[in-house]
Amino acid sequence: MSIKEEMTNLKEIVIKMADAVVLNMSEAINFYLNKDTTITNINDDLIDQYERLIEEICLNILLKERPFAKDLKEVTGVLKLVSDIERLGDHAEDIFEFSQKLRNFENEKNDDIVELCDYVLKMVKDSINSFIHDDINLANEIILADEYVDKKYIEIIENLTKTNKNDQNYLHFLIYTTLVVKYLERIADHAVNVAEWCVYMRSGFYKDRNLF
Amino acid sequence: MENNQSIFEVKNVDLFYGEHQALKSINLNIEKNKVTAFIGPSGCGKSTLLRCFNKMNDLTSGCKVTGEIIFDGTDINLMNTIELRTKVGMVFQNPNPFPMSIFDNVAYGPRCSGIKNKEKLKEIVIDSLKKASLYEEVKDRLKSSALSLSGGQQQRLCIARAIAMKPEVILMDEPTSALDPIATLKIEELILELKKNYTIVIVTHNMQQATRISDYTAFFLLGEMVEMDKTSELFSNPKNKKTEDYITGRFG
Repeated sequence: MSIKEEMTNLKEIVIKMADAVVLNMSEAINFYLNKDTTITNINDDLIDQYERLIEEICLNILLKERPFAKDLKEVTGVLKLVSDIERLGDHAEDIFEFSQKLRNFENEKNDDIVELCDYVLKMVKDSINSFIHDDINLANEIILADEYVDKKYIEIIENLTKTNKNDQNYLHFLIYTTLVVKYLERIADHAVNVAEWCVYMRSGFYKDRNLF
Repeated sequence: MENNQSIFEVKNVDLFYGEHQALKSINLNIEKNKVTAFIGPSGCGKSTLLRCFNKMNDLTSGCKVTGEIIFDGTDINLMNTIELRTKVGMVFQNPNPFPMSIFDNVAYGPRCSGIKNKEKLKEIVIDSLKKASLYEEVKDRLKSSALSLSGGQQQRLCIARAIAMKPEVILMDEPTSALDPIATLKIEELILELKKNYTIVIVTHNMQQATRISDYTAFFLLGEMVEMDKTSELFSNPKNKKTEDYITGRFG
Protein backbone atom coordinates (compact mmCIF):
# COMPACT_ATOMS: atom_id res chain seq x y z
CA MET A 1 0.00 0.00 0.00
CA SER A 2 1.25 3.49 -0.79
CA ILE A 3 1.25 6.01 2.06
CA LYS A 4 -1.75 7.71 0.43
CA GLU A 5 -3.66 4.43 0.53
CA GLU A 6 -2.52 3.73 4.09
CA MET A 7 -3.74 7.14 5.25
CA THR A 8 -7.11 6.63 3.52
CA ASN A 9 -7.41 3.18 5.07
CA LEU A 10 -6.58 4.59 8.52
CA LYS A 11 -9.24 7.27 8.24
CA GLU A 12 -11.86 4.76 7.05
CA ILE A 13 -11.22 2.50 10.04
CA VAL A 14 -11.41 5.43 12.49
CA ILE A 15 -14.75 6.36 10.91
CA LYS A 16 -15.99 2.77 11.32
CA MET A 17 -14.98 2.82 14.98
CA ALA A 18 -16.64 6.20 15.47
CA ASP A 19 -19.82 4.90 13.79
CA ALA A 20 -19.93 2.00 16.24
CA VAL A 21 -19.48 4.43 19.15
CA VAL A 22 -22.21 6.80 17.92
CA LEU A 23 -24.57 3.83 17.49
CA ASN A 24 -23.90 2.60 21.05
CA MET A 25 -24.20 6.12 22.40
CA SER A 26 -27.53 6.72 20.63
CA GLU A 27 -28.87 3.39 21.88
CA ALA A 28 -27.75 4.07 25.46
CA ILE A 29 -29.30 7.53 25.48
CA ASN A 30 -32.52 6.30 23.83
CA PHE A 31 -32.69 3.60 26.45
CA TYR A 32 -32.19 6.11 29.23
CA LEU A 33 -34.85 8.39 27.74
CA ASN A 34 -37.24 5.39 27.35
CA LYS A 35 -37.40 6.00 23.63
CA ASP A 36 -36.30 2.43 23.00
CA THR A 37 -36.62 -0.04 25.86
CA THR A 38 -36.04 -3.14 23.73
CA ILE A 39 -32.27 -2.80 23.94
CA THR A 40 -30.89 -5.57 26.11
CA ASN A 41 -27.20 -5.09 25.84
CA ILE A 42 -24.52 -2.63 24.75
CA ASN A 43 -21.22 -4.19 23.93
CA ASP A 44 -18.09 -2.22 23.22
CA ASP A 45 -15.79 -5.17 22.47
CA LEU A 46 -15.83 -4.26 18.79
CA ILE A 47 -14.81 -0.70 19.69
CA ASP A 48 -11.90 -1.95 21.80
CA GLN A 49 -10.78 -4.15 18.90
CA TYR A 50 -10.94 -1.17 16.55
CA GLU A 51 -8.79 0.81 18.99
CA ARG A 52 -6.08 -1.89 18.99
CA LEU A 53 -6.23 -2.15 15.20
CA ILE A 54 -5.94 1.62 14.73
CA GLU A 55 -2.99 1.84 17.13
CA GLU A 56 -1.32 -0.97 15.20
CA ILE A 57 -1.90 0.75 11.85
CA CYS A 58 -0.57 4.07 13.20
CA LEU A 59 2.59 2.48 14.60
CA ASN A 60 3.13 0.63 11.32
CA ILE A 61 2.83 3.85 9.34
CA LEU A 62 5.25 5.62 11.72
CA LEU A 63 7.71 2.75 11.41
CA LYS A 64 7.52 2.10 7.70
CA GLU A 65 6.67 5.46 6.17
CA ARG A 66 8.29 7.94 8.59
CA PRO A 67 5.57 10.42 7.66
CA PHE A 68 5.96 14.19 7.49
CA ALA A 69 3.73 17.25 7.48
CA LYS A 70 -0.03 16.52 7.32
CA ASP A 71 0.50 12.74 7.45
CA LEU A 72 2.52 12.96 10.66
CA LYS A 73 -0.11 15.25 12.19
CA GLU A 74 -2.87 12.87 11.16
CA VAL A 75 -1.17 9.71 12.45
CA THR A 76 -0.20 11.25 15.80
CA GLY A 77 -3.58 12.98 16.10
CA VAL A 78 -5.43 9.70 15.46
CA LEU A 79 -3.26 7.93 18.04
CA LYS A 80 -4.47 10.47 20.59
CA LEU A 81 -8.14 10.83 19.61
CA VAL A 82 -8.69 7.09 19.33
CA SER A 83 -8.40 6.85 23.15
CA ASP A 84 -11.12 9.47 23.52
CA ILE A 85 -13.37 7.68 21.05
CA GLU A 86 -12.81 4.46 23.00
CA ARG A 87 -13.75 6.22 26.25
CA LEU A 88 -16.93 7.50 24.60
CA GLY A 89 -17.76 3.85 23.94
CA ASP A 90 -17.13 2.99 27.61
CA HIS A 91 -19.41 5.78 28.76
CA ALA A 92 -22.21 4.64 26.44
CA GLU A 93 -21.98 1.29 28.24
CA ASP A 94 -21.97 3.08 31.62
CA ILE A 95 -25.09 5.08 30.78
CA PHE A 96 -26.87 1.91 29.66
CA GLU A 97 -25.85 0.12 32.85
CA PHE A 98 -27.18 2.85 35.17
CA SER A 99 -30.27 3.42 33.04
CA GLN A 100 -31.23 -0.17 33.77
CA LYS A 101 -31.32 0.76 37.46
CA LEU A 102 -33.69 3.61 36.61
CA ARG A 103 -36.32 1.46 34.91
CA ASN A 104 -38.67 1.90 37.87
CA PHE A 105 -38.51 5.67 37.59
CA GLU A 106 -39.61 6.10 34.01
CA ASN A 107 -41.90 8.98 34.86
CA GLU A 108 -39.27 10.93 36.74
CA LYS A 109 -37.52 12.34 33.69
CA ASN A 110 -36.15 15.79 34.11
CA ASP A 111 -36.45 18.13 31.09
CA ASP A 112 -32.99 19.56 31.67
CA ILE A 113 -31.46 16.09 31.49
CA VAL A 114 -33.42 15.24 28.34
CA GLU A 115 -32.08 18.39 26.74
CA LEU A 116 -28.55 17.66 27.94
CA CYS A 117 -28.73 14.17 26.39
CA ASP A 118 -29.59 15.62 22.98
CA TYR A 119 -26.98 18.34 23.31
CA VAL A 120 -24.19 15.94 24.26
CA LEU A 121 -25.12 13.38 21.59
CA LYS A 122 -24.96 16.15 19.01
CA MET A 123 -21.51 17.18 20.30
CA VAL A 124 -20.29 13.61 19.83
CA LYS A 125 -21.68 13.40 16.29
CA ASP A 126 -20.23 16.82 15.43
CA SER A 127 -16.80 15.87 16.77
CA ILE A 128 -16.79 12.82 14.49
CA ASN A 129 -18.00 14.96 11.58
CA SER A 130 -15.23 17.48 12.18
CA PHE A 131 -12.79 14.57 11.83
CA ILE A 132 -14.45 13.16 8.72
CA HIS A 133 -14.68 16.50 6.92
CA ASP A 134 -11.51 18.14 8.33
CA ASP A 135 -13.79 20.88 9.61
CA ILE A 136 -11.87 23.12 12.03
CA ASN A 137 -14.80 25.54 12.42
CA LEU A 138 -17.10 22.77 13.59
CA ALA A 139 -14.38 21.48 15.93
CA ASN A 140 -14.02 24.94 17.46
CA GLU A 141 -17.80 25.16 17.97
CA ILE A 142 -17.67 21.90 19.96
CA ILE A 143 -14.82 23.19 22.10
CA LEU A 144 -16.87 26.29 22.96
CA ALA A 145 -20.04 24.25 23.56
CA ASP A 146 -18.44 22.50 26.54
CA GLU A 147 -18.95 25.55 28.73
CA TYR A 148 -22.73 25.17 28.37
CA VAL A 149 -22.53 21.48 29.34
CA ASP A 150 -20.47 22.24 32.43
CA LYS A 151 -22.95 24.93 33.48
CA LYS A 152 -25.93 22.67 32.87
CA TYR A 153 -24.28 19.80 34.74
CA ILE A 154 -23.81 21.87 37.89
CA GLU A 155 -27.34 23.24 37.59
CA ILE A 156 -28.89 19.77 37.26
CA ILE A 157 -26.92 18.32 40.17
CA GLU A 158 -27.82 21.28 42.38
CA ASN A 159 -31.50 20.90 41.51
CA LEU A 160 -31.36 17.19 42.30
CA THR A 161 -30.03 17.96 45.79
CA LYS A 162 -32.98 20.24 46.46
CA THR A 163 -35.53 17.44 46.51
CA ASN A 164 -37.75 17.10 49.58
CA LYS A 165 -38.68 13.49 48.97
CA ASN A 166 -37.55 11.37 51.86
CA ASP A 167 -37.87 7.93 50.44
CA GLN A 168 -35.28 5.19 50.10
CA ASN A 169 -36.27 4.37 46.51
CA TYR A 170 -35.98 7.96 45.48
CA LEU A 171 -32.44 7.99 46.83
CA HIS A 172 -31.62 5.27 44.29
CA PHE A 173 -33.09 7.44 41.58
CA LEU A 174 -30.96 10.39 42.67
CA ILE A 175 -27.73 8.42 42.83
CA TYR A 176 -28.15 6.72 39.43
CA THR A 177 -29.40 9.88 37.77
CA THR A 178 -26.42 11.79 39.14
CA LEU A 179 -24.12 9.14 37.67
CA VAL A 180 -25.81 9.36 34.27
CA VAL A 181 -25.50 13.15 34.29
CA LYS A 182 -21.86 12.87 35.33
CA TYR A 183 -21.21 10.51 32.40
CA LEU A 184 -22.96 12.92 30.04
CA GLU A 185 -20.61 15.63 31.24
CA ARG A 186 -17.60 13.33 30.71
CA ILE A 187 -18.85 12.40 27.24
CA ALA A 188 -18.91 16.09 26.33
CA ASP A 189 -15.32 16.37 27.59
CA HIS A 190 -14.21 13.49 25.35
CA ALA A 191 -16.05 15.02 22.38
CA VAL A 192 -14.09 18.22 23.08
CA ASN A 193 -10.84 16.22 23.18
CA VAL A 194 -11.66 14.67 19.82
CA ALA A 195 -12.39 18.14 18.44
CA GLU A 196 -9.10 19.49 19.84
CA TRP A 197 -7.15 16.70 18.13
CA CYS A 198 -9.02 17.44 14.90
CA VAL A 199 -7.83 21.06 15.14
CA TYR A 200 -4.27 19.78 15.72
CA MET A 201 -4.44 17.47 12.70
CA ARG A 202 -5.33 20.35 10.40
CA SER A 203 -3.30 23.18 11.97
CA GLY A 204 -0.55 21.71 14.16
CA PHE A 205 -2.04 23.60 17.12
CA TYR A 206 -3.25 21.76 20.20
CA LYS A 207 -4.93 24.00 22.76
CA ASP A 208 -3.27 27.10 21.25
CA ARG A 209 0.18 25.52 21.37
CA ASN A 210 1.98 24.70 18.15
CA LEU A 211 3.00 21.07 18.64
CA PHE A 212 4.18 20.42 15.09
CA MET B 1 17.26 35.03 6.73
CA GLU B 2 19.17 38.23 7.42
CA ASN B 3 21.59 39.27 4.74
CA ASN B 4 24.44 40.19 7.06
CA GLN B 5 24.63 36.58 8.29
CA SER B 6 24.71 35.11 4.81
CA ILE B 7 27.99 33.57 3.65
CA PHE B 8 26.64 32.75 0.19
CA GLU B 9 24.14 34.77 -1.80
CA VAL B 10 22.83 33.13 -4.93
CA LYS B 11 21.24 35.60 -7.33
CA ASN B 12 19.31 34.60 -10.44
CA VAL B 13 21.52 31.62 -11.20
CA ASP B 14 20.77 29.66 -14.36
CA LEU B 15 22.89 26.68 -15.35
CA PHE B 16 22.95 24.94 -18.70
CA TYR B 17 24.52 21.63 -19.65
CA GLY B 18 24.65 22.31 -23.39
CA GLU B 19 21.02 22.88 -24.38
CA HIS B 20 19.60 21.44 -21.16
CA GLN B 21 18.81 23.95 -18.43
CA ALA B 22 19.60 22.27 -15.10
CA LEU B 23 19.05 25.28 -12.82
CA LYS B 24 16.41 27.95 -13.34
CA SER B 25 16.59 31.40 -11.69
CA ILE B 26 17.86 30.22 -8.34
CA ASN B 27 17.83 32.80 -5.57
CA LEU B 28 18.79 31.86 -2.05
CA ASN B 29 21.09 32.72 0.82
CA ILE B 30 23.21 30.34 2.88
CA GLU B 31 23.48 31.44 6.48
CA LYS B 32 26.79 31.41 8.28
CA ASN B 33 27.45 28.68 10.87
CA LYS B 34 24.25 26.90 10.02
CA VAL B 35 23.53 23.61 8.31
CA THR B 36 21.49 23.99 5.15
CA ALA B 37 20.06 20.88 3.50
CA PHE B 38 19.11 20.57 -0.17
CA ILE B 39 16.44 17.97 -0.87
CA GLY B 40 14.55 16.90 -3.97
CA PRO B 41 14.20 14.01 -6.40
CA SER B 42 17.13 12.84 -8.53
CA GLY B 43 17.89 15.25 -11.33
CA CYS B 44 16.27 18.23 -9.60
CA GLY B 45 19.51 20.25 -9.62
CA LYS B 46 20.40 20.16 -5.93
CA SER B 47 23.88 18.63 -6.43
CA THR B 48 24.45 20.87 -9.45
CA LEU B 49 23.80 23.94 -7.30
CA LEU B 50 26.04 22.58 -4.54
CA ARG B 51 28.85 22.18 -7.08
CA CYS B 52 28.37 25.80 -8.18
CA PHE B 53 29.48 27.00 -4.75
CA ASN B 54 33.09 26.01 -5.38
CA LYS B 55 32.97 26.10 -9.17
CA MET B 56 33.13 22.33 -9.55
CA ASN B 57 30.89 22.58 -12.62
CA ASP B 58 33.73 24.37 -14.42
CA LEU B 59 35.20 20.92 -14.94
CA THR B 60 32.14 19.80 -16.92
CA SER B 61 32.37 20.51 -20.62
CA GLY B 62 29.48 22.45 -22.12
CA CYS B 63 28.41 23.78 -18.73
CA LYS B 64 27.44 27.45 -18.60
CA VAL B 65 26.46 29.34 -15.47
CA THR B 66 24.83 32.78 -15.47
CA GLY B 67 23.79 34.98 -12.56
CA GLU B 68 25.81 35.74 -9.46
CA ILE B 69 27.09 33.72 -6.53
CA ILE B 70 28.50 35.97 -3.85
CA PHE B 71 30.82 34.44 -1.26
CA ASP B 72 31.60 36.64 1.75
CA GLY B 73 30.77 39.72 -0.30
CA THR B 74 32.77 38.76 -3.41
CA ASP B 75 31.50 37.31 -6.68
CA ILE B 76 33.07 33.84 -6.90
CA ASN B 77 33.87 34.46 -10.56
CA LEU B 78 36.25 37.21 -9.44
CA MET B 79 38.01 34.86 -7.03
CA ASN B 80 40.93 32.61 -7.72
CA THR B 81 39.50 29.07 -7.98
CA ILE B 82 42.14 27.57 -5.69
CA GLU B 83 41.50 30.25 -3.08
CA LEU B 84 37.73 29.61 -3.38
CA ARG B 85 38.12 25.85 -3.00
CA THR B 86 40.41 26.37 -0.01
CA LYS B 87 37.65 28.29 1.71
CA VAL B 88 34.85 26.10 0.40
CA GLY B 89 35.74 22.44 0.89
CA MET B 90 33.81 19.49 -0.39
CA VAL B 91 32.99 15.95 0.73
CA PHE B 92 31.49 13.52 -1.77
CA GLN B 93 29.03 10.65 -1.71
CA ASN B 94 31.65 7.91 -1.80
CA PRO B 95 34.64 8.35 0.49
CA ASN B 96 37.62 9.08 -1.74
CA PRO B 97 40.80 8.98 0.33
CA PHE B 98 44.05 9.20 -1.64
CA PRO B 99 46.01 5.92 -1.82
CA MET B 100 48.48 7.08 0.80
CA SER B 101 48.75 7.08 4.59
CA ILE B 102 46.15 8.57 6.91
CA PHE B 103 48.63 11.28 7.88
CA ASP B 104 49.52 12.14 4.28
CA ASN B 105 45.87 12.35 3.26
CA VAL B 106 45.22 15.09 5.79
CA ALA B 107 48.58 16.76 5.22
CA TYR B 108 48.10 16.79 1.43
CA GLY B 109 46.28 20.11 1.21
CA PRO B 110 48.48 22.03 3.65
CA ARG B 111 51.60 20.66 1.87
CA CYS B 112 50.24 21.80 -1.50
CA SER B 113 49.66 25.22 -0.05
CA GLY B 114 53.33 25.41 0.93
CA ILE B 115 53.55 24.27 4.54
CA LYS B 116 56.79 22.31 4.89
CA ASN B 117 57.43 22.44 8.63
CA LYS B 118 56.95 18.89 9.98
CA GLU B 119 55.83 20.00 13.41
CA LYS B 120 53.33 22.42 11.92
CA LEU B 121 51.98 19.73 9.57
CA LYS B 122 51.67 17.27 12.45
CA GLU B 123 49.78 19.84 14.46
CA ILE B 124 47.35 20.49 11.57
CA VAL B 125 46.82 16.75 10.95
CA ILE B 126 46.12 15.94 14.60
CA ASP B 127 43.88 18.95 15.02
CA SER B 128 41.91 18.12 11.86
CA LEU B 129 41.54 14.45 12.81
CA LYS B 130 40.31 15.48 16.24
CA LYS B 131 37.79 17.89 14.75
CA ALA B 132 36.59 15.10 12.45
CA SER B 133 36.17 12.79 15.49
CA LEU B 134 38.62 10.30 14.02
CA TYR B 135 41.83 10.90 15.96
CA GLU B 136 41.14 8.50 18.85
CA GLU B 137 40.50 5.66 16.38
CA VAL B 138 43.62 6.18 14.26
CA LYS B 139 46.20 7.85 16.53
CA ASP B 140 48.33 4.69 16.72
CA ARG B 141 48.36 4.07 12.98
CA LEU B 142 48.72 7.42 11.29
CA LYS B 143 51.23 5.91 8.88
CA SER B 144 48.85 3.11 7.80
CA SER B 145 47.13 3.30 4.46
CA ALA B 146 43.92 5.31 4.46
CA LEU B 147 42.39 2.54 2.37
CA SER B 148 42.58 0.20 5.38
CA LEU B 149 39.94 2.29 7.18
CA SER B 150 36.24 1.41 7.20
CA GLY B 151 33.87 3.35 4.93
CA GLY B 152 32.66 5.54 7.78
CA GLN B 153 36.23 6.22 8.93
CA GLN B 154 37.27 7.02 5.35
CA GLN B 155 34.45 9.55 5.09
CA ARG B 156 35.52 11.19 8.37
CA LEU B 157 39.08 11.21 7.00
CA CYS B 158 37.78 13.08 3.94
CA ILE B 159 36.11 15.56 6.28
CA ALA B 160 39.40 15.91 8.19
CA ARG B 161 41.17 16.49 4.86
CA ALA B 162 38.71 19.28 4.07
CA ILE B 163 39.08 20.77 7.56
CA ALA B 164 42.89 20.81 7.26
CA MET B 165 42.56 23.63 4.72
CA LYS B 166 40.73 25.72 7.32
CA PRO B 167 37.69 26.26 5.14
CA GLU B 168 34.75 28.46 6.03
CA VAL B 169 32.21 26.28 4.27
CA ILE B 170 32.02 22.51 3.85
CA LEU B 171 29.86 21.23 1.01
CA MET B 172 28.62 17.67 1.43
CA ASP B 173 27.06 15.75 -1.43
CA GLU B 174 25.11 12.84 0.09
CA PRO B 175 27.98 12.12 2.50
CA THR B 176 26.30 9.21 4.27
CA SER B 177 24.44 7.45 1.48
CA ALA B 178 27.17 4.82 1.18
CA LEU B 179 27.46 4.29 4.94
CA ASP B 180 25.78 2.00 7.47
CA PRO B 181 23.45 3.50 10.15
CA ILE B 182 26.14 3.66 12.87
CA ALA B 183 28.68 5.36 10.60
CA THR B 184 25.89 7.68 9.41
CA LEU B 185 25.07 8.61 13.00
CA LYS B 186 28.74 9.47 13.66
CA ILE B 187 28.87 11.73 10.61
CA GLU B 188 25.62 13.41 11.66
CA GLU B 189 26.97 14.03 15.17
CA LEU B 190 30.12 15.38 13.59
CA ILE B 191 28.14 17.76 11.36
CA LEU B 192 26.33 19.16 14.42
CA GLU B 193 29.69 19.67 16.10
CA LEU B 194 31.30 21.21 13.01
CA LYS B 195 28.61 23.84 12.50
CA LYS B 196 29.96 25.75 15.50
CA ASN B 197 32.99 26.66 13.37
CA TYR B 198 31.90 26.05 9.80
CA THR B 199 28.97 26.60 7.50
CA ILE B 200 27.67 23.35 6.07
CA VAL B 201 25.59 22.78 2.96
CA ILE B 202 24.46 19.20 2.53
CA VAL B 203 22.64 17.42 -0.26
CA THR B 204 20.67 14.49 1.06
CA HIS B 205 18.00 12.09 -0.11
CA ASN B 206 17.33 11.15 3.48
CA MET B 207 14.67 13.54 4.73
CA GLN B 208 14.92 12.26 8.30
CA GLN B 209 18.60 13.18 8.13
CA ALA B 210 17.69 16.69 6.99
CA THR B 211 15.33 17.06 9.97
CA ARG B 212 17.97 15.75 12.37
CA ILE B 213 20.89 17.93 11.36
CA SER B 214 19.87 20.95 9.32
CA ASP B 215 18.67 24.40 10.34
CA TYR B 216 17.33 25.30 6.91
CA THR B 217 16.07 23.13 4.09
CA ALA B 218 15.57 23.98 0.45
CA PHE B 219 13.40 21.81 -1.77
CA PHE B 220 14.27 21.59 -5.47
CA LEU B 221 12.24 20.26 -8.35
CA LEU B 222 13.05 20.23 -12.07
CA GLY B 223 15.84 22.76 -11.67
CA GLU B 224 13.81 25.21 -9.63
CA MET B 225 13.97 25.98 -5.94
CA VAL B 226 10.37 25.44 -4.89
CA GLU B 227 10.65 26.37 -1.23
CA MET B 228 13.25 27.20 1.39
CA ASP B 229 12.45 27.58 5.06
CA LYS B 230 13.53 26.64 8.54
CA THR B 231 13.75 22.83 8.51
CA SER B 232 11.18 22.40 11.27
CA GLU B 233 8.72 24.57 9.37
CA LEU B 234 9.32 23.02 5.96
CA PHE B 235 8.73 19.49 7.25
CA SER B 236 5.73 20.37 9.42
CA ASN B 237 3.94 23.12 7.51
CA PRO B 238 5.24 23.28 3.95
CA LYS B 239 3.86 26.31 2.14
CA ASN B 240 3.98 24.84 -1.36
CA LYS B 241 1.81 21.94 -2.48
CA LYS B 242 4.75 20.45 -4.44
CA THR B 243 6.90 20.41 -1.29
CA GLU B 244 4.08 18.79 0.67
CA ASP B 245 3.56 16.17 -2.03
CA TYR B 246 7.26 15.35 -2.11
CA ILE B 247 7.87 15.10 1.63
CA THR B 248 4.71 13.07 2.16
CA GLY B 249 5.76 10.63 -0.55
CA ARG B 250 2.95 11.51 -2.95
CA PHE B 251 5.48 11.65 -5.79
CA GLY B 252 9.22 11.51 -6.42
